Amino acid sequence: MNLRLDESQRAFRAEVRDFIAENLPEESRRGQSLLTGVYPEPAISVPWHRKLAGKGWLAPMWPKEFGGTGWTGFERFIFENECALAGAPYVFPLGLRLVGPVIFTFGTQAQKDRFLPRILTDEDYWCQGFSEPGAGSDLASLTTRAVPDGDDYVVNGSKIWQTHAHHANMMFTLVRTGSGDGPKQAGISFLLIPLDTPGVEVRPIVSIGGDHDVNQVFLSDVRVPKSNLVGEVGKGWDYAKFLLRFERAGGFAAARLRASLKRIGRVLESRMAAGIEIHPDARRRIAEVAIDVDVFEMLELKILGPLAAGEDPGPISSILKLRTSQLKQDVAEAGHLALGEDGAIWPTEVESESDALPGDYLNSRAATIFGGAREVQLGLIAREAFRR
Amino acid sequence: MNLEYTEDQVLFRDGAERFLSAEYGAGARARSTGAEDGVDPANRSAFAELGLFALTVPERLGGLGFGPLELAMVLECCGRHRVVEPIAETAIAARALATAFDAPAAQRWLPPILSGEIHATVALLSNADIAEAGDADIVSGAVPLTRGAPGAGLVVLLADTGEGERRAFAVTPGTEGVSVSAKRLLDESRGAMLTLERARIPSENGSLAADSVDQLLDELTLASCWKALGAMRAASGQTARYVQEREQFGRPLARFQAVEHMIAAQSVACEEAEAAALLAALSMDLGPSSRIRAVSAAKNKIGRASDVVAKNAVQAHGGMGVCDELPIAGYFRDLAAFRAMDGSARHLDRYERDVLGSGCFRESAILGTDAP
Ligand SMILES: Cc1cc2nc3c(=O)[nH]c(=O)nc-3n(C[C@H](O)[C@H](O)[C@H](O)COP(=O)(O)OP(=O)(O)OC[C@H]3O[C@@H](n4cnc5c(N)ncnc54)[C@H](O)[C@@H]3O)c2cc1C
Repeated sequence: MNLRLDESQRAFRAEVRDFIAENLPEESRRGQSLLTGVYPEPAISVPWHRKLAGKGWLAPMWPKEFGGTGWTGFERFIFENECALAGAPYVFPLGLRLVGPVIFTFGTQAQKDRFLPRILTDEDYWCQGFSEPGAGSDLASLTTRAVPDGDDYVVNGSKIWQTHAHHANMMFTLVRTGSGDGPKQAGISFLLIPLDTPGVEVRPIVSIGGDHDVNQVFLSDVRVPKSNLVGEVGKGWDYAKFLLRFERAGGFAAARLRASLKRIGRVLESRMAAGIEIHPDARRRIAEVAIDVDVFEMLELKILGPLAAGEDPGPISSILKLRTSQLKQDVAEAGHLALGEDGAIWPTEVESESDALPGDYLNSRAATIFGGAREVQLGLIAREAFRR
Repeated sequence: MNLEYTEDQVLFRDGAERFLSAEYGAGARARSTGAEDGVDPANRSAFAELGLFALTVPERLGGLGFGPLELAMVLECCGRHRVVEPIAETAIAARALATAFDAPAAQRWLPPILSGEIHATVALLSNADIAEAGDADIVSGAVPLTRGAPGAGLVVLLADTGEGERRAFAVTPGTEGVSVSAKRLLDESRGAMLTLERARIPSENGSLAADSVDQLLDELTLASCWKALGAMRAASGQTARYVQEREQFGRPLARFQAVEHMIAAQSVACEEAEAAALLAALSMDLGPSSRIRAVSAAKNKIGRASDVVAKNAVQAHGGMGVCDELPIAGYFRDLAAFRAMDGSARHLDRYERDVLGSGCFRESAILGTDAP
């Protein structure tokens, strides 16, 4: 066992570093550095997606046959670190990390041929239509219904909290296709809905930090071809659980947490340069959070490093999701603490990195809610402990 | 990068685990806790025979030639079985003799340690006052609470003068000017504070080539972290089993969500503690700044994580958690001693100064710092 890079890993790291230095668009880097929301806007992320796609590096988490890179887990770890620490924007994960693996694992050949390449070119920008006003943590109680009619399904209902639905042209959903008898997890199907279909309406929701990231999506008599149903009718719940494990252990979040710490480091530096003293309590708390991130980096590497691209991380994903979300909050809170009293100011325009910290702190509270709330993860983790 | 244990590592660890399961029951442990110095000679011989004290001594000096990770793995087993004897302290004293002293000193002191005739320990003497006097050094200063010092056949003093100078001294019992104030610790092991008042230490028992002083202290911290990890894993495993067996209100405690969340908190704490322990063990050979960063992170993180495990273990056991009937109370005391000792505050300070202060917290803990 050791953490030393071997010859080829060192060469790989240098190659990644050089590529980023030559290709990371300045507006993407700047946009990421001022980020307050959960994900950067497509205007920030997509130019970087294009550079990565051109190099064949956009989908390291996919098997090679579908456009993956064939990297080992350790190489993915190095890549994610280099990207995040260079200030590259987060790659938007909904197509790449969420629906992509469902399509290449359970989809028909025609679905793979159509949808996978379009994720890699950003011709399709995906959003996730799982949650509903009446179905949050208890997702299986969802009521959006898809009724067969000729070659189509006719879909009615409402989804809520769709991240970037206002930018997306595609939405993967869970819909009820069964009779309603039996357990509520039965009779759910996984359906892909083009958002330009008549009867789809997207309404904005403004977040606690003042950003427009999420939306409510209304579906009224929306006709979706039956060929857009993934896998078997009524098996949607299994595919959703599979997808959620990727969402929760999506990969090397420590690199992104580190990038946020780096931003805080720069803010601290500029405040100290301006003669502002950092309170010892704030320094201590930042040190403790940095320790937590160091440790989390090792935890992720230990769990994800040995996995092949596209391999299901299993139930441990709940521990990674829980800690990722808590650390996201702890780092954001440490950043807010670094501002001292200035943390009470809500900047009207985000022009500097320190302007971004209050909004980042506010929005970070969502981290323990989306993707399965903290309390739900704790339940899953406990049940796993009882199984052992 | 490679995260697989080798076959040799697993074999050695499993050997130690089998020995402890079969031979180290309550009776064996009680022989040591009942002994005046906290170490039963027969237990000590058995540990020596198993090779625990020789583990990290180079082969040319009669050791097994393993490194800090292998010692750590064995310490995890010791933590699980609540081993009360100063295993890590003795093993690292032996390693100190092998790495920080010249060959004659090492050859003089290693045989009785490796054979189990004596136990030994390693102690930190900060702000030491050292003066040369012919064929001896005259040393003064105070040594904080050090496990294994009572009855030790040898104490390896790792001294720092406060001005960056590092020295190591091998101190034998009865050395004039050394007073020992022995204490019983929460985990029922023995420790002592030492006071050196113009103690006269013969030059042949001193070492100038003590670059490895900081490294040795970190190895000791690393070992204590892994021992704590063993106790944490055992305590949370037992808690998860207990709440599935014990019924109240007509169902197992495990079915109450408040209890479920205690169990989940323990699982998370154990996973994080293991990662912290591993990061520290694997950073030992990456260069000083990586080592300092990872060891101080581990001590602080495992301190916090052990608190979560220990308190929830007691709480979930109800009254059974606060009496000596079950090992749970014992694990709680072991972990409380771990948290209190070995400079818990010092490590957060060191991290703040060396990692936050230098700005290297902005780099990956694994790929950054002085990682090759
Ligand atoms: C910023 C953001 C982005 C999102 N993006 C998307 C998206 O793109 N697509 C999508 O489909 N959804 C998305 N979501 C929705 C998200 O998945 C849900 O918010 C989440 O599942 C929680 O559901 P809820 O909001 O209805 O809360 P509720 O389920 O009502 O929960 C409220 C509180 O009760 C607790 N609780 C609930 N059930 C239990 C229980 N059994 N035991 C103990 N405590 C319980 C919860 O933990 C929580 O603390 C997003 C949410 C946010 C905030």
